[in-house]
Amino acid sequence: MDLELSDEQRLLLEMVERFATDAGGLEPHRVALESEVGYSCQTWQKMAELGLLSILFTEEIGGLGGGGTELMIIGESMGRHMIATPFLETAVVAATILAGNCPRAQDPLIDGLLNGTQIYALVEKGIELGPRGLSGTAIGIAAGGQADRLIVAAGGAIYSVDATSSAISREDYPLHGGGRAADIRLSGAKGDLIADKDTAEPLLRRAADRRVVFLASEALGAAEAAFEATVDYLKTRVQFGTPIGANQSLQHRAAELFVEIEQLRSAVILAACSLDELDTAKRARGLAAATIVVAKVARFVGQWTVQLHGGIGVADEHAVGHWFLRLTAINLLLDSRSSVDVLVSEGRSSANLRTSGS
Amino acid sequence: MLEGRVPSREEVVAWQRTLNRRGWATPSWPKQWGGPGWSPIERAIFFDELHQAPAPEPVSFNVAMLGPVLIRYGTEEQKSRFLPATANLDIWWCQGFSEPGAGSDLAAVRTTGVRMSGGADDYFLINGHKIWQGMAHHANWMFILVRTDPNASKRQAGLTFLLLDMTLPGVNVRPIITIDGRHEVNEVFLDDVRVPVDCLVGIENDGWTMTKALLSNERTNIARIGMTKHILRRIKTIGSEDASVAKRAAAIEAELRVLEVTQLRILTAQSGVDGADPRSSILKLKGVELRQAASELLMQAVGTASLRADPAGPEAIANPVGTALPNYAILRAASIYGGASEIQKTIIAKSVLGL
Repeated sequence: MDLELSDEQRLLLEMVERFATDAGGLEPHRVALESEVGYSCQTWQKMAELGLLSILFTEEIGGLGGGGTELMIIGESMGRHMIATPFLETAVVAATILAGNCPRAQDPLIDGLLNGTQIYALVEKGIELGPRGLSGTAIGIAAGGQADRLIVAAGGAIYSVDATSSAISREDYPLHGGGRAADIRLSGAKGDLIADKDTAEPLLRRAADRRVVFLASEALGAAEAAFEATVDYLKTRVQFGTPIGANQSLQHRAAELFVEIEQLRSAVILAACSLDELDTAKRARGLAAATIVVAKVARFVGQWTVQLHGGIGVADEHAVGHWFLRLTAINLLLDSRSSVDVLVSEGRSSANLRTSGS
Repeated sequence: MLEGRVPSREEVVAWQRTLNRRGWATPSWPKQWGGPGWSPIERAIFFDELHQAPAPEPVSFNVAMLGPVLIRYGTEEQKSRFLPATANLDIWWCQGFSEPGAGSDLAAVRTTGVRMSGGADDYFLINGHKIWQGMAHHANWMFILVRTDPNASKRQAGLTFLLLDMTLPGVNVRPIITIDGRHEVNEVFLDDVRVPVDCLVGIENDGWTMTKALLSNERTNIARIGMTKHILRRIKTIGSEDASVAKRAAAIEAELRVLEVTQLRILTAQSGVDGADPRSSILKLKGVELRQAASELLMQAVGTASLRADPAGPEAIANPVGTALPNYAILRAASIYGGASEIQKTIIAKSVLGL
């Protein structure tokens, strides 16, 4: 487990933080929430120009060849600066599936992704392949309303589908905590095969694992930012003639938050490192352990940073409530119950914790 | 604890000598004094393996607490006199810090040490009452903090660190039986005990320096992750019919795996850092929380059968039935000793967060 950033990773971190400090923050976040697409198209184009959308592609096809650590760097910045874009759906999930399909430099699907002109959304469940084509209903597809193409898993294979086809209807709505989702109905839509039955399952698994790392990293950025704002508030908010942070009960709660956020950072590192684990069972265990901790800490930090802010914590005009909402969303999006099941079943089959060292 | 029971004095002595023959009894000591010369991370791996085996730790009063203080502050004569015997457990040390009126507030120590002159035979005359001496009934020496200057400007400034031979006249050890029914801690009464001046460590009235160094010494073992792993493995071995036990064990295991990463991060960052480091409080707080949670879950997995007591003590009933509840009960002390959790949180709030 290498905890040090390489020179390239440090440069990426500086670049992303510079960009996110400039593009992010509470006001741009509120504008994006109110907008029709749920994000700033200008910010999205800037991310494409900076090459961030190519993060997971290999260098041969114009990518940065990144992995878990790069996801962590970008996710943390997005969470901290409240930048909601279809990055996760397009540049993480869809990119993983497209990159696994013997990618070629001229692949129009990949070109569109890299230059920021195409948004993708994954539809993993609810669609069947019949004689008329792809049919079925999928609920709550993130970025589904904004997507130019849908990446559809059906019948054990994966297809690319033109999202604007007349065989598709979409009902698009905003999400608490940022971004948008759609309920999507396919009625005999035509799909181009992008992964057959032999390759689809591992690609979907890989995309799901990377999604966990990105969401976890986003939670870390949001939690740290909310906590820093809270410590500042404890030092500056005066009641009963003294800063409220002079109260031991609040000091101890702040210390507990600090400990949990250290654990959150470790969980994100564990998740990111688990991506490179070749042993399938070990990878699943590492990601499951990380997921459980991230979900728990996201909830704890969200709730207590609001509480320590008092009334202003629930006001829409203050940032802490928005970090709370994003942390709440991530808690729901991470499937910590099935992560518990992963550890329970592993425990039953091996009853051996000694292999957990890394 | 070994499979939930407390090892005997003979077992601990034999085991420490076995380790000492390989140079492993003193993991944090330099090679010059018989240590293995391990890095903090290597030491953490060693303790993790020990706890999971499970095997007793080398006696921490000797190895983790006093040894490094003597190496740093002792005279050459004190080092050669005490260090080999300390490593081999020929001397078993106990800690003489806490008093009935000095718990978390250690600088409130009231036991007095009055320097009496007799030329080269100067001695300190010790009078007072120490409490919570772990394994003092096995020990033959005690390191002790006494007040030698009652008029010092700061409470911390009038304290002196001494080594006290417990066979001297005036030393009386009284057992304290804890809620697990075991005898591990004691109180020690000191009446006109004469401690020779060659047992003074460091400078007279500067005992606080040694005390701070001693209490911040063994941080590679503060989270005791291996012990919690071992408890979780015992829970799985029991195989409770209650499905929620396995789920709660999984939740603890998840946090424990993540704590391993936190420990690795902190030990890496601490390499080269001297003295107390507030980040150690993270490991103490979280390590204790998980160990207590695991011990409680083990008891719940055993269920009401764990209520059965035996006048002869927890070890008289077969494991894990006999020890599950007593071990849960005595582990409540883990968030009290070694810096109570409330003290650890105050350390973080003040030194890290600046509150």
